[in-house]
Amino acid sequence: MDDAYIIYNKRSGHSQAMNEFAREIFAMIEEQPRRLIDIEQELEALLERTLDADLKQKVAQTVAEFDKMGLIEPVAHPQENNNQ
Amino acid sequence: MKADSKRLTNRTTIQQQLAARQGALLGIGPVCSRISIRFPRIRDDFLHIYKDYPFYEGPEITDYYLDVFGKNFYRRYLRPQVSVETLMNADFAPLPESMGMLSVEMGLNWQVAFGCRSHILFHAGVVEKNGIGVIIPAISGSGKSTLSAGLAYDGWRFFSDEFGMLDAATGALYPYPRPVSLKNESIPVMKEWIGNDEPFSRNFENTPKGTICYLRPNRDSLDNMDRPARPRVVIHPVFDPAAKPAITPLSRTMAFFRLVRSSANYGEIGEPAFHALSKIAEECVSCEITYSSLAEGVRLVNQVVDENVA
Repeated sequence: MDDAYIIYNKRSGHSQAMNEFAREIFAMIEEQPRRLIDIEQELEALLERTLDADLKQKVAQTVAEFDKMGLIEPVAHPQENNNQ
Repeated sequence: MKADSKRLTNRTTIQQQLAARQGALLGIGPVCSRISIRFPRIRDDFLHIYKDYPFYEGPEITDYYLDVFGKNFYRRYLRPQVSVETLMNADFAPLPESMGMLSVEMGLNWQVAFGCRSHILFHAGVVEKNGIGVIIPAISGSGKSTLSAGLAYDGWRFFSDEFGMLDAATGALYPYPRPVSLKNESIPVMKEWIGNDEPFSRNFENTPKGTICYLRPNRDSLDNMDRPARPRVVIHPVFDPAAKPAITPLSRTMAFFRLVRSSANYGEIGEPAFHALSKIAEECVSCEITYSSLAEGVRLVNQVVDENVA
């Protein structure tokens, strides 16, 4: 769309709008499972600067919103699996 | 479904079929309903409003069934009261015989609203002119029935005042031109607009929604009810007697979510509905119009189409 991204959740049948920031984070998670710190590091690489506290909080809130909407679910991280 | 079915032309035969338990087969756009009405007075009301509609000898598939009857001798002849059976586990409150036509319309509406899975349903009026389909989504009481009917009697082809039907696979709008349900102040407005009382039913007074009157769509719309159209414009009407006329464009995202909100079966149809509505939001002109009279509403719809669609 012109001013937002709209996604369709096949499991719930709901449609949700996302701004570019949320869509970028969602695309990272779609690509492969990530921890919050992985997302922050990737965003820092993309933006070519360190994320300040406000932006980190925004990332955490966005991920929490994804969870609330049923768009993501917890999985065992590959590194954690390797350590077992 | 009814392409190979023979159309009935003999009014007496239609009346006899309507009176029998098996019922008469009424075709409206892509929907075929078997309707049985056991009360002579309600049959007369029904046949006046459905005068120009096609009745068929027998399609291969009947979509809906409606039996309008009195539960016993007392309710048939002494204190007539109308009950409705739809074979869909509906539980309609019985109405007095004098309001029987409301039971017929309510029963047909209910089945489409809760049973339709073949098309994406919008709670919307739909009209078409020169191949340009216009969807007019709105909640009850917003004036969409009056606006849709006003357009229909002003050169547009009437698809519906209540149920927009979209084929998710082809993206085409299908006509479902049921009689227009007019309420209260809109009744004299439409009678003045048309200038002829013939296509109207009698008034049904003291209903839960006040006075109700049904209007038969114009003949051209009924004769072409099997011809779909492509949606090109979506107009959300806001009727406000004190407002100045206005046209407000909607962003594509807002257009999408307003369509989702107006759809009765978006959730049931699922992903195909998401893609179909996304396509409409992407490709159609979407706006809100604010108007204070029927003439102004019709003028604004024409203006939106003339200025935005070649």
